[in-house]
Amino acid sequence: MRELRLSARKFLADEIGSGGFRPRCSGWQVFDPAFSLRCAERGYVGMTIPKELGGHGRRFLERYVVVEEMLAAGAPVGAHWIADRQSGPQIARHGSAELRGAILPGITAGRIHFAIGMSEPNAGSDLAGIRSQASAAEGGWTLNGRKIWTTNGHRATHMIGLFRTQPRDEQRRHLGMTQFVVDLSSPGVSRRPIADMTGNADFSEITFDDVFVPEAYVLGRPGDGWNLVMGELAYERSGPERLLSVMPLLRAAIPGLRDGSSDAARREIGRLVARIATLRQLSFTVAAKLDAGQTPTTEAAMAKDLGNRLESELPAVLRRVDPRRPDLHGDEYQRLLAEALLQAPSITLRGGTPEILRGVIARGLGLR
Amino acid sequence: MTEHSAIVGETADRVLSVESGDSIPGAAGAWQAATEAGLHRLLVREPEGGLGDDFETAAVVASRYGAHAQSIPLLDVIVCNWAFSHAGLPVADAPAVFVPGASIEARVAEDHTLSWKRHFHVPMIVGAPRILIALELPGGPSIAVLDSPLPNALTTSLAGEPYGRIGACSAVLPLELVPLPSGLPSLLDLAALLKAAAIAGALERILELTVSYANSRVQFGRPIGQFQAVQHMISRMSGETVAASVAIREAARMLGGGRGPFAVATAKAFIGEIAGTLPTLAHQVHGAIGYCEEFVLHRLTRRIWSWREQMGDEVYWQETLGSLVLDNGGDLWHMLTDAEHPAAGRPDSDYTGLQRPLNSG
Repeated sequence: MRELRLSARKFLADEIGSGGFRPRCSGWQVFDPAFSLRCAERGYVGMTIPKELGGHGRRFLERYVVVEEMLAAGAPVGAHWIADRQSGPQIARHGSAELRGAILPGITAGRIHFAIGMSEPNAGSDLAGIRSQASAAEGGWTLNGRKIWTTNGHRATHMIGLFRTQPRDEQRRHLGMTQFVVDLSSPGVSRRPIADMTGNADFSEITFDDVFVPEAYVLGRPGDGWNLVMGELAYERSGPERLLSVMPLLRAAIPGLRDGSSDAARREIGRLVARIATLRQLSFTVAAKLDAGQTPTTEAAMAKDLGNRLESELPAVLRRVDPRRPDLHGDEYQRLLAEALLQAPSITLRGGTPEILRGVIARGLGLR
Repeated sequence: MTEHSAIVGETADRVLSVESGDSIPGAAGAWQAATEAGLHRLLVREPEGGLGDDFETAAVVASRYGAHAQSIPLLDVIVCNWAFSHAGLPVADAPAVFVPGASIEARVAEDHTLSWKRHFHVPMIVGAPRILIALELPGGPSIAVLDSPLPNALTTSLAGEPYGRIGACSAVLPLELVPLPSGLPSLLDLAALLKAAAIAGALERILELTVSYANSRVQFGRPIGQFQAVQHMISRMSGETVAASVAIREAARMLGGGRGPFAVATAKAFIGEIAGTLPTLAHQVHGAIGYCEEFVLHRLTRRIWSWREQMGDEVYWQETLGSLVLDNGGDLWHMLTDAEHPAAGRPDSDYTGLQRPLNSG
């Protein structure tokens, strides 16, 4: 593990040194296919996909260590991020032989990039409210409907999308949904980027108009989509990206705080570091449970809730203890601070809001 | 969890469930039960019948101690006996407490007399304890042992336990200074770990009480735990409670290695911070009953608020950690991830960066 961490660290230092990328907070949202290819050459993509399916067959915790290094360095891992974190493992577990063969080697090579097709215009936190439909067609299914707030959906090559395969039953809304792997270059798919308040356009809206998906591209059994989505979310919620998105900023802040910093600055840095070190252990504990084949839904929600809260708070704390002001065109610290401040409102709304997570935790505690 | 910690933890849970209350007679019973079970000798070296440096088991015992809101000075005597054992002194069956010398500005003069400039407090619930003062001498860490000095005033902790105030002293004392072997974790780190573990154990108990209360108390025709506002308070408590236990496990595992000081500072800083907010949330969920003498919640709350002041409050440890990060010159991320990174060790000038006095009582 130690060797793996240090070799990833060296790769990243060389990348920064040679101008391969500029460190960014929330690098997992930054889409850079060329960087993903270089990661794939080093074996850092598709790490947990079994070898016989075209992956590297490494342990979940080994991927965790590599991913930590990527995030802490602010590397632009967004192009392969979703495929590597959840779509690849999901296809490895629930996909047909044909689908695995068609997709998994391309993920590992860093060429196939995935988006998450869950949210819809009227189904965000209340995911069971989706209306997009799939109807049986000859040799497969026909998709119709709309997905929105899809991170990098206009740049990805594929999506795992959740569609209704049976009419909605108001009493049992979780039934009758199915996950499909969709090639986003298929006829009938139209994609529109959505500009956000940072000036970027990472979200997108995707419309499906009679899009054909072959039978082999169904995940699991038709109708079992809700259970599959819940399993996928455990991977989505437990990772170090829910804590380390702002690590590049904190690392950049430290050298400037060394000389003549106030007691208040020492105290606040100490407080933040105590939280980060503790939450990192918590996140690692969740990862170890996933590694052991468990599904720690409640703990994953706790880790995300606490991690996101810290990520949102950190830029505001630095503003208080450091006289340097945010500046998108300033030095590295000022630029990272400005970016982190602007990104802060989005941190707590991706992958489940704190309000939803606390409901999940409450259920896990036996309330309700 | 080590093999020992599960077995010893069960024993500790049973022994420490003896209700000590805030009263001296109650504490005497609890003290007797704990010493009969040998818990006070937990960390003495193995030839003397203890587990040696098994800090993970000690943290489990401290957590059970906290969950039962104990008032006896068991954790103090565990720390003292660990030091006595390593220093080659006889271990104590009577109460003993540890005081960091730097926190009272203790000095040893050339004629081997000891003086200190600040007063401190010692627990008196099972009688006046012996006092172990840890000193950083030019020859290395040493301890001085004072036989139960008479306090010059009595006071109580926030938890209502009797404490004695030992005033500043510049008198010539007959004194034996005993060096500790080099390479041991600092007494303060061990003592802070155990106090933090006690808080973490008490927080776990508070969470259990709060979930159970929210599920049984009915208002507006349903258990209050069904209201989203209440669920969110309890969810927040639970996340930080679990994180506290994770921090304790990590610190207990690391103590004794190069990363020990960093991990202990992390645990006591984090737990000291949530020691304020979590009981407050629990009281909010409980409403008026939680504020009542007859209900158990306040015993935990008041002990948590007493323990968080001891062995360095959260501000002390936050500043310690901030200084470790800022004065070390290395990269924060490397420090966080490098288990045996030298930067994680405490600088040689042990307590000299002290910004605030450690309150020992």
